[in-house]
Amino acid sequence: MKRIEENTNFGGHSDRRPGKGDKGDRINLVEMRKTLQQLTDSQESTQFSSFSEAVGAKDFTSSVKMKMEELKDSVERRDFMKLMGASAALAGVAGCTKQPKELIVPYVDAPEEIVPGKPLFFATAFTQNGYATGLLAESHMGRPTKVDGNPEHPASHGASNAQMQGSVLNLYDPDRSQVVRRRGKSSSWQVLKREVGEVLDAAKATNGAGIHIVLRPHSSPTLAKQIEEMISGSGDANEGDEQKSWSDISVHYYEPVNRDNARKGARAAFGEVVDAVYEVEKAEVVLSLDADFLTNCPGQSLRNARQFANRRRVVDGARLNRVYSVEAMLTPTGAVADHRLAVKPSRVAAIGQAVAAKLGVGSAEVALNEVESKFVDALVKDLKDNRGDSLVIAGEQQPPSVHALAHVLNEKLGNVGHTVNYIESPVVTEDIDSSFGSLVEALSEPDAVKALFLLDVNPVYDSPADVDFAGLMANAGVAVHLGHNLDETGEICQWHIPLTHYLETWNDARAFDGSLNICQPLIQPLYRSKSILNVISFIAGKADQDIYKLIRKGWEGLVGDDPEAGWRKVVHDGVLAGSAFTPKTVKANASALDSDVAEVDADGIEITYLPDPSVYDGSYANNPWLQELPKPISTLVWDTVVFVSPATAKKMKASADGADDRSNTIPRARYVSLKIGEFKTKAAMLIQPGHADGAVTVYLGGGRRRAGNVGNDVGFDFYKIRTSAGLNIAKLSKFQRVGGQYKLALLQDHHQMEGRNHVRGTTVKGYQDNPRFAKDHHEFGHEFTMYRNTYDDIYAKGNQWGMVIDLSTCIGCNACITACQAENNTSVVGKKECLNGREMHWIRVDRYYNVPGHGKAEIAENIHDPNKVKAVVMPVVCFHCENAPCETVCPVGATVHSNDGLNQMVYNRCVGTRYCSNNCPYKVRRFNFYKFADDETEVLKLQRNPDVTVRLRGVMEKCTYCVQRINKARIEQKVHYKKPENAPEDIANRAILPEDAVVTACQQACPTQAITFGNLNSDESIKDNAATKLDQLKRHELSYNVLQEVNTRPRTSYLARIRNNNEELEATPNDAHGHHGHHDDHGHHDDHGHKQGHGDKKGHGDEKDHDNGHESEKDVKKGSH
Amino acid sequence: MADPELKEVPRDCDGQHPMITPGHSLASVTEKISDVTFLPVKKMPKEWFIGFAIAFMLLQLLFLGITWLLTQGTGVWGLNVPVAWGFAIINFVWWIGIGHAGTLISAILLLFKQDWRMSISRFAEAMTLMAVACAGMFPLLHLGRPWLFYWLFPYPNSMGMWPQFRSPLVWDVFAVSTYATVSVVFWYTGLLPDLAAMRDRAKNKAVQFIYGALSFGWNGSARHWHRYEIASLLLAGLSTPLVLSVHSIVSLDFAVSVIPGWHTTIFPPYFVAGAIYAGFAMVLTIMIPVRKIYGMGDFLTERHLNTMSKVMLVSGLIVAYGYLMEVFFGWYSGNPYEKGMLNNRFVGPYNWSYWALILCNIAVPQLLWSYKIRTNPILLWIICQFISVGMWLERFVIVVVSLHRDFMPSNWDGYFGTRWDWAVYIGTIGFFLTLVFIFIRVLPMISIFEMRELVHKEHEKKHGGGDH
Repeated sequence: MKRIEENTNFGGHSDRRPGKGDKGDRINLVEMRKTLQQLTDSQESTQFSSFSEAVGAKDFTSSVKMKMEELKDSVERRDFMKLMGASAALAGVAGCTKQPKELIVPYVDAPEEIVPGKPLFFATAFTQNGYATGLLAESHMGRPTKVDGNPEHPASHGASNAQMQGSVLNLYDPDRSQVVRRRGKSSSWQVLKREVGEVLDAAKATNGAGIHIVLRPHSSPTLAKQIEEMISGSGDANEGDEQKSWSDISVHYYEPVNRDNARKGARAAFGEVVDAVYEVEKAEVVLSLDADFLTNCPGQSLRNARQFANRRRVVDGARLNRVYSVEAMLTPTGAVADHRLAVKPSRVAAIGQAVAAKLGVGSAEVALNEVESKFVDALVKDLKDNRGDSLVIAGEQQPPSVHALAHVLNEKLGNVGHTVNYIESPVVTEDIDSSFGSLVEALSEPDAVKALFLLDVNPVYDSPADVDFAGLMANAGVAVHLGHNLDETGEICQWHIPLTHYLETWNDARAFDGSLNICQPLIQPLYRSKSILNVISFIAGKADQDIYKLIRKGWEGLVGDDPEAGWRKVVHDGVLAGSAFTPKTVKANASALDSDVAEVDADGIEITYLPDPSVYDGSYANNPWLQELPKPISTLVWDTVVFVSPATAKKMKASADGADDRSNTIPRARYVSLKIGEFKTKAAMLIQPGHADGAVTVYLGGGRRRAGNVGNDVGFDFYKIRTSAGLNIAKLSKFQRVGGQYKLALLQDHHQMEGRNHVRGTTVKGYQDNPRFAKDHHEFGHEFTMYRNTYDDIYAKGNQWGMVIDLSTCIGCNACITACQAENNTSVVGKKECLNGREMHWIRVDRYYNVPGHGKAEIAENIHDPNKVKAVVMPVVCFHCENAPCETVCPVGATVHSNDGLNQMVYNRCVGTRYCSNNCPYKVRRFNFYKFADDETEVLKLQRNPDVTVRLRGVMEKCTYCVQRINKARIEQKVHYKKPENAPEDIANRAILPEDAVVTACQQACPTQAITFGNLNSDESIKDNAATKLDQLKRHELSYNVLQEVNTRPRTSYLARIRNNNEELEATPNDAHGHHGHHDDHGHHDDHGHKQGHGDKKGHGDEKDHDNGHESEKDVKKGSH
Repeated sequence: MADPELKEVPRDCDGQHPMITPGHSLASVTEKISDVTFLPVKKMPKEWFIGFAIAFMLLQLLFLGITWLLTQGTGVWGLNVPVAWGFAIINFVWWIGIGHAGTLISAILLLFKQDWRMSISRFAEAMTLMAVACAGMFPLLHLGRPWLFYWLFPYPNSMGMWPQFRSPLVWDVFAVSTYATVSVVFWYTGLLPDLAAMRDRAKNKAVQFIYGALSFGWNGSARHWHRYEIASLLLAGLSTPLVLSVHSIVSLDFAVSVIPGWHTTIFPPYFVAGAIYAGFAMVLTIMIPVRKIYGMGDFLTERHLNTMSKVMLVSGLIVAYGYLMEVFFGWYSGNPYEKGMLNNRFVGPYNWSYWALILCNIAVPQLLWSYKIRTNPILLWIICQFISVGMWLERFVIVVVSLHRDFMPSNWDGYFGTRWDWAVYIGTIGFFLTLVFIFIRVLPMISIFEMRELVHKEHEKKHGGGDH
């Protein structure tokens, strides 16, 4: 159903619409369709030129032909860029889609569902580590512009993470590979099939011995079936198939960041590989053994975060759970944990063993130091008190023994079946070390490997340091690489095939719980790319299979009695209801526990390799959104470095001021050299308070040579020192400071709150003692003005927008930042400009280190003790102040207030005095110091949200509360609004939107629903519930305004953070940011004079306040043990 | 070391140096001053050529800096968020401050009948104009989209938009443009009799024509003089409030904001005092070498140096009081952000700028209590340099040091001027000096007719004549 009429715009023939132009050029649709059909029949593919050939746009056709010729002669990327530009321009004109072979419908009568200007949403899925997460992709006139979680999907519940948000930009990556290449020169799929086909034919005699296929672990039933049929030679035969028997073909699974440890741990504990599915919400006590289960738990992070948040939402009366974290690196999980023990990574096992011993499993005798034993004692008591309601989670990077230990502990504590279930792993894989090892073995013999297919893997870059994969590939006969980019591996393969993006092709996959997903494409492939299914089907000797038909056929039995309706439903929903695996009954073998306590080398330095929170294993290195996404806690951008604790750094005579205060100069980091055996590298060091001493952590995914223009040489490559013997945690044989300095781009330069009270919080007890503690912080008890306060009159009418951010649930994962960037066309500025403090993100996540102590000296002392450092996070958007300081100082009226309470930025009117930014006490405004927006690269234009202006040089911008979404809702309301029968006329005319009519991009992405946005003006006369949710939150005793004393009357407010501390470990509430527990005599009298945003302006606000207060107090009391 | 030229001059009857060295007649005054302009190129002092060459080279730096800025964008400067104002605003305030001395001297001192102002008024006024020209550049260049600067003016337009009158930046537009206009008119009016004198003395026809045209047909008739006196009194009356208003309004750019370190009520008077301080320092900076090179010691006597130093001392003390009160208010407010701001000035990463400012603006100028230093041109010149630097640092402290650490520590960042910041700053100094050298060459740098009046007055005084 494509748009022929539009397509005639190709090559400047905009006037050649039917009925226009000269006679000779007039389009005959019938003729055209016929020509197209012929073309389709005669050619293997109708690339972008086909349509114009059909319509006879001669000069266009010839220009494309010329481009094609050029392309054939040259391998320079530059030319690809040109071609890309051409194709993208066409795609843009054509509504970004090329003509599919099957169906051509003139656009004279538009398809019913497409209304220009209105996006459509399609369910699809994103996969990582083989696990699918359901998404809804937003499509504007055929261009996918943004993805968000599919609310129906068990793994996402509507939320998403930064990589999902960023993945849409990968589709439009200008550096994407576009044509099949043979030894670097452009070629075609046909030639590849012919030439590689010969090699395959030769292997027929040996049943495929010598043919090796390498792919990532996956969960696609169709792919699994296809591989199985290929090997067994079974399956339906189609016309044109060459039936072959590939019984001796080798299929290897490879992924640099993999789940081998979890698999082996499960095997050790249960004798078989199972996946643990956590129910964090049901657990009263969670013990994380080096597990960052909120942001790095393959397939389950979003769900874990959602469930964690459900137990932390104090305002909903949640019974707070308690999280204990034992970890080395300060992760988001460690930061939100109620208690955190920083230990070397190898010590985690010992702590786990000590816990086990105290619970009566295992016989390990662990010598604990004072801090550790106090922690373990309190933890064990808590675990014992909550038998059956606790949960132990082992970190992905921890060795199998720790995973086994977690399984045993969960069983011992009676958690299995309640807070944790075991299911058959939905991922199709083998142990990667052995699977990849066998490939390496085969490759080390000359001529043993006749054909090597590397499908969406990049081992030349990310294989273990002791495997010289590039060198080994010399022994391979013919090497074929399938990848998004012509990367390090693609570069040295004879053949390279462009890989389709997940939004370009049909696919299927399973989620963490086994639920089946259909991933539907939103756009025809932009380039001549192939999917893994295409390549496998070629190897199997099948005639070019239509993937859609293939998947549909595979699903026939699954979708119910009415295949058409069932298929439609599952494609619509994205996920097949009821397809989750049922839990398996497995018995943990307690003898799996190591009784030997691993000796921890006190002086040695250990290294942990973690996937980068932004670019993961390096696959997203060419994604500028993700490169510029601050890494949680450290706020580092455009880099991968060595994270070192202040004390460890101090030993190397590197000062901790690097972690303390850099607001004066650009942070200059020291270099360190790291050595493991014969492998060594040099990298910059970032001092990370809270990191365990004697250990360092590195993020993988940096230092890529062939990622593309964005990702080349960003950060340091730690694969260089990651050996097969220690893929996750290893001992460094040498670690020392070396000369030179390196500039680190941190988006936050000052890391302590300096005794100010922006982030407010306390413990459960502190809250019970003084429920209004968050309000005691206000410098002035009530608003003061010399004049009559007119705001209440102004803002009493119509829709009034506001936001509440719950600091108890925010985990600082930064997904909101990328979501905002995708929604609002926010520019990326690059490392240099980030160093200059010119980043353009409209939302930022502040992070402060809480270090106990008074005075600089004491704090400097305590920052060296990782167990004393706590981190708190606080997302900051524009506050949309009712009394906005930015508005009064703009000389040209470019920033003004709307009737519905938005602080608006009129880009066209802005002359760029930047006074508004200076006068913003929150500094949420962002200035285009240069022309940051790339409006020249054609393909990038396709990603842009058409509802949001792209800002140019010299203009101020900032968070708009997603005004485009508000306006969309307003228009809808105006169109469809019907006056309630008994409503008075004036109110009816206002057409007040329901409070949740608008969801902002940050709110939508947030895995923990920490952000609530909505209409504050709940008009009681037309609503059933007098107080809306947002009203209740604003009136809640935990609600506070940042910088209320500046009298800005912000519309964005916060809910103070409540931690559920164990009184045995931390008796007195002490969050080191304010006077907690300090009872203000005026505390309650304050109520009357105290205006809290909107809620209180109605007379009965106070009463409600008290009611809510008591209720939540009760609940929190229940929750505290 | 005192200037030998001044040593032998006898004291006045009131114990002061005379305002003009005795021995000058009406003719000699005219001759001496106008000769500078009529000097043949060959006889012009080589210092003029060297100075002009340097100034002109620095002017090229300005062109380069502006070109780069306009082609690339504001990003070539070191600005960021939170420090969204930097060199451009510092320089704007600095130049506007320097531009205060001239009008103060010609307007306020005229009203107060301070005769010593006569020898320096022309010079100071010219400097005012040049400084305002330099200052006027910055608000334009500072804009993110400089080509839209006219949106700050209220003019009827198809957008139906007016400037936003609550913004002090709009007040600035009015204050500065009014000040510039009135200053030009005042200065030019004062030039008329002298232009006529130049016309009369010119030997070259072309020159005569140009001066003649510029003098608007001044013929020195009693009626002309009468009208001139009235006009200059009126203009002085008009300028006087402007002297106070311009810098007060500039100070409101900061004072109306909410930023600690900006949000303070003492800014208007303290800015005005600072402006006079800086303006006098700049007048002396230029005057002392010119007096030496052109041998103008007869008209710019020790008396002038002494009096101007005293003005600087007083205005410097007012500024010092301002600094003191800033600290006091910050402490007394009990406001953590104000306290944080002070703490940051004293011990923060940019504390060098604060302490250097105290040294330059408060400590060093205390030397001016000494008469010997006040009348020693070299030492005085050096002190003036301290004050100029100090006043620049004062604006740096206010603009940058306040902004770089404001309310939320997560925003805190650093700021340094880039080479392009410096290029434009130094470039405007080049622009200023170029104009000064051209002014010296083409116009009488000291008001001839006022000096003649002074000769007359001195004569009267000496010979026991009563007041007029």
